[in-house]
Order: sequence, then structure tokens, then C-alpha cells
Amino acid sequence: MGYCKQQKTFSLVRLPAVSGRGRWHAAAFTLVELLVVIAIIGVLVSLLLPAVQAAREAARRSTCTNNLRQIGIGLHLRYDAKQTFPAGFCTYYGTGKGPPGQRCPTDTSWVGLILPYIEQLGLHDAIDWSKWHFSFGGKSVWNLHIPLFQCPSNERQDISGTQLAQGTYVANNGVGPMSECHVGAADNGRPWKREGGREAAGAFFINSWLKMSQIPDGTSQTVLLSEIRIVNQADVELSADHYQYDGRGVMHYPEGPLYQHNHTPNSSIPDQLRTQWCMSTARSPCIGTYPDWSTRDYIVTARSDHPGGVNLLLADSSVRFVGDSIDLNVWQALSTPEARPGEPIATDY
Amino acid sequence: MTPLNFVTGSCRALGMTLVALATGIGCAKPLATVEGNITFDGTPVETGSITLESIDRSGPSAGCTIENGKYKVAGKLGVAPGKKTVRIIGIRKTGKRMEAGPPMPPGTMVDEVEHFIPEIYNSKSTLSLDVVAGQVNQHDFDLESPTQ
Repeated sequence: MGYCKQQKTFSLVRLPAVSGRGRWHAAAFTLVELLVVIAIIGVLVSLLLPAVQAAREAARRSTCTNNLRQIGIGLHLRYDAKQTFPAGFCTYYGTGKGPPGQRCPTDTSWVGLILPYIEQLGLHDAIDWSKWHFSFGGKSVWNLHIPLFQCPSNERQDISGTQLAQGTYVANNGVGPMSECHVGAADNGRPWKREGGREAAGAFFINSWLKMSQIPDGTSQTVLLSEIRIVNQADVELSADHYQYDGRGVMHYPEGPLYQHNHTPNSSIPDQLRTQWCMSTARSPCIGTYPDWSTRDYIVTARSDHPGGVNLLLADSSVRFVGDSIDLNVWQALSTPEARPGEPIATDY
Repeated sequence: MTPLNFVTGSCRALGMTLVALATGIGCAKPLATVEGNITFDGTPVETGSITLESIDRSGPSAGCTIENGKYKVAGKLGVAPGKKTVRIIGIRKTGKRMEAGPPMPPGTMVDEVEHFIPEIYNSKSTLSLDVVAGQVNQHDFDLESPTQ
């Protein structure tokens, strides 16, 4: 009887039921039973939620990989038309001329050069290809996002003021720092390179115009593009003039659409950026190591928001996922089109 | 089994499962923590970076930002044990102002900055460090200008 009483005290749901002796009394769940059920549901949901999140990230990652592949097809379409990969960026000071049949005004990056091959002919035609491309103030093509360059795992950047549009996908500049710029008409537009600057050239650098024949390492062992983690500008305090922001991923200027293989992917070693374009965050650390374009002590490491590694687009246009724990020497061997002395052959990574 | 015993029993089982899961997730290669202070000619390095690479360049590179003369490479992004080449760079303002140039608009002035740690400590590093597993590796670097 005492047990029955207890049941009545804690019952939340009262239902008529028949006891062994045929008497009506309230049958219900005890509080303990209820708590156990809630606990079990809780455990099940807590198991399910990460799975749902993982599925969403997997979907985003698949879009991200697809974008990279599409840009790869664009690079190869351009190769078929022009017989070279685009230059990382150009300097043909004042003249806007490139190699025969290719226009490339000074400071144009590889992103501008592949626009017609990634279904962005409108953007391409809006550019005045006869002069140095940069115009100050107001919005222009340089402020427009290209959806293909946005990895959905990365947060999309809203452009404010005169900020330049950014993309997730960046081209392999080699083992940095970049250390290259133009020097102006006085030097016949010859590119300038800092003594003892870059350690090894990648597939994209100043006036590079790489040909397949210049990739003796093999197209499946040389990287064209990878990803970076763009800093969400909402996380950092912008200065009033909007010229100080994080410039990583800027698409249409030499300091932005290129990255280096100095450090393995997703490293916590800070990137080296122009002081005005460095907004350090915990996940995308940086330090401002040079004040202007004439030094370009620029080192950016491949990073992504996918767990455990980054995507790579190889020169054969295949996409591979490479883990953070890759050997540094293999990672650097992947960046060079031509093997350096003592370089391992990057077959197993 | 009384209901209360059932609850505590299942809680214990659940707890043990969670502990097992957590240790299972955390059983990747053990990474060591390395931390300490960095000075150059007796002054703490305000801004810079430290990089630790295996002598044979195997495994990933590790490192962090140097802030106010201190560094700490820890956690998931710690250092794999073994002998490392250490590269340290330091950045400081020269005190001069200069024009930033493109793509900033004409007339944008910025502080000039420079690297002040010689290349024998970074690109041509002679610094090395033995990182020991399973402990906090406390290591200070007191760098000095090379004597002429």
C-alpha cells in the first residue's frame, strides 16, 4: 500500500487502470523513470547534433572542393587558349602588355586573368585592360565578390567602404617570403626581386606564365591552388578610413591571392603581412612585418575551416585533401614545379 | 533493482562510456608544450614569431606569435617531440612615418617597421632545441647581436 501511495504522490499523468484485485487506481510514471527517459533522450540528441553539424560541414566542404575544381578547369581552359598558366601577377609598367597575345597591366593578379574562363566575362569586360588597373575610391570591379571564390565553410565577407573583394582560393607562390614587385618605368618595367628573399619559386609569381614543360616534378606533384581562412571583418575593429583591414584573400592585388609553403597547413605560426592589412585572430594569426609594396615580406599559410587539413588543386586539375600533419619537406616539395636538391619525391602524402 | 539503483547504475555506465570516448578521441600523437621568454640584446622582443621545425624537416612545423617577449606553443597545435631548428623573427617600428603607396590611396601614411633580429636566428638559423615529450618545455632565448 505504501508503494501505491508513493506512486500517487509523484504521478504526473493520471490514467485509469485496473490493479490485480480489480480496483481502479492511477497508473503513472515515477519522477525517476521520467528523468531516466529524459536523460536517454538527452544522450541520443547529444550524439545526433554533432552528426548533423558534421553532415552540414561535409556538404559545405563538398561545395568548397567543387569550386576549387571549377577554378582548376578555368585555369586549364585558359591554358588551352593561351598555352601558359596565368602569371601570379604582372608588371609591365605603363604598357599593359604581357607575352604575345596576353594583356596584363601592372598589379593584375591571376584571378583577373582567368575571369573569361570561369563565366565572368562581364567582369572581365568591365576592366580597362590598357592601363594600370587600380583606381582609388568608389566601388569598382575590384570590390565585387565572385561566388566561385567563396568557400562556404569560410564566412562571406561584406565589403564596406573601399575594401577590396576577397576570395578563399589562393595560388601557390612557393617558399616565401614573396619579395617581388614592379619598380616602375625607369627600370624598363623589369620585375624587382629582393636579394635573399624567396627561398623557392612556386607555380605563380611575378610574370611567371608557367608552361607544362616547366613542371618536371609532374603535374600531379605540383600544387596550383589551396585555401586560406579569411578573417571575418566583423571580428576585428576597423579603422574609420577602412583602409586598415585584413587583406588576406584580396583577389585583385599581388598581396592577397597568393600563399606560401613555408609552414604546414593550419599552422599557428603567424602570417607575415603588410602592417595595414593584418588583423590577427586566434584562428588566422598574423603580424605586420612590412609597411608597403616595395618590401613584400609576405608569407601566408594555407588554412581552412575543414577539420584536419586543406584542399589542394594540383596542376593536373585534380583536387586532394592534405592533412595538417604532412611532413614539412613533402609540403615544400609539392610547391616547387622543379625539384630542389635533396627534395623528397612527393608520392605518398 | 530499485529505480534509484537503476539510475545511479546507468549514470555510472554512461559516465564510463563518456570517459572512454574522451580518451579515445584524445589519444592522437602526444604533442609537447614549449614556452618561455625571448630577448634580443637584453630587451624583450615585443612583436615577432617563433618557428620550430624538425632538423630533418619531417613532420609539421609548429610555432606561434611572440607577444611582449613571451611565447607559448601548446594544445592541439603543440610541438612533436624531437630535435628542432628554431627560427625567431622580431619586428619593431623605426619611428619614421612613410607613405603606404598602392593599393592605399595617395597620402596614406603608415609607421615604418623593420626586422631587427639577424638572419643567424631565422632564415639561416643556428638555434636548436630538444623538445621532450610529456612535460612543459620551458626554454628562454636570450639572443645577441653577432660580434663583428
